[in-house]
Amino acid sequence: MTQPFGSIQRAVQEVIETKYPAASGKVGGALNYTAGQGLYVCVMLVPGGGAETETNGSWTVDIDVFGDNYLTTLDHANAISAMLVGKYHKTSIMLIDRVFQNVAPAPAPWEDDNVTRLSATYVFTSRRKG
Amino acid sequence: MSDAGIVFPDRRTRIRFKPGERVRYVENRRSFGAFMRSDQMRDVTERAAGHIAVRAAALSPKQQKKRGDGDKTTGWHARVAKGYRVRRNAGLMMVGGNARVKVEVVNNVEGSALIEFGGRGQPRVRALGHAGGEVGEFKGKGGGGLR
Repeated sequence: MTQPFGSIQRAVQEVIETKYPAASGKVGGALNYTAGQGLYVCVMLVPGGGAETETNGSWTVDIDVFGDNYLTTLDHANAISAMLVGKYHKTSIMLIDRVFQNVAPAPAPWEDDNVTRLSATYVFTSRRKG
Repeated sequence: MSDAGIVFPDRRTRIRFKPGERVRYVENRRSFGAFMRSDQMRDVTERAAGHIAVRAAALSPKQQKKRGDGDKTTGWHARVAKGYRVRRNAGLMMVGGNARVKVEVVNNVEGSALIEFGGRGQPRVRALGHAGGEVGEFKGKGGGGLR
């Protein structure tokens, strides 16, 4: 990770990487994508959207999916959304009890027009495991 | 006191149901819909949008402070922070299949999207989203939301 990563971001990263193998090893915490990279998923806590170091509580998290092709990226974003929403997720340190999608994947601006960036906002509610 | 002389209207107009018959009553929501699309509702919404615009301007970063000039700032961050405006006539929007008034908070200044969504070298601030959340829309039903 290129920047400090909070507990909920780690948990979401683990969920995406284990339950969506296409994004395995391609989940990070910084807006850092160059054209031609393929797929990249950025998990960011919305500023003020919850405490970074806690394992109990709720968080508002933005998940950006980057790609070079609009349709492929949209497929990835929708698949990640369907995988996350409305389910119970177990990670190594946290149990995510509830996932709610505030904003569905929608195009967001990026410096390179050839890159597709789809941004979605989720609310996660979780508790400590064990 | 005796009520022998009083005629109760309910008794005269009582509807007798046949055995097995169920009440089929559909309330009329047209007047409520008209109220929710009225200028009166738009005034209230505009006031709330004004609060959001002020809050977003406060949350938006203001770098490049002018030295020795109080809170005055220069540069594009300050231009973005001053650029939040309320659009009163933003039409209608559908909420659960019903038309409701819509008032928008917009920022047309170049660079406002970069402040809102972030980019390479510019962290995501989400000033407008966070300001909207304080009124309640961004919180969602996930339990808590922003705090």
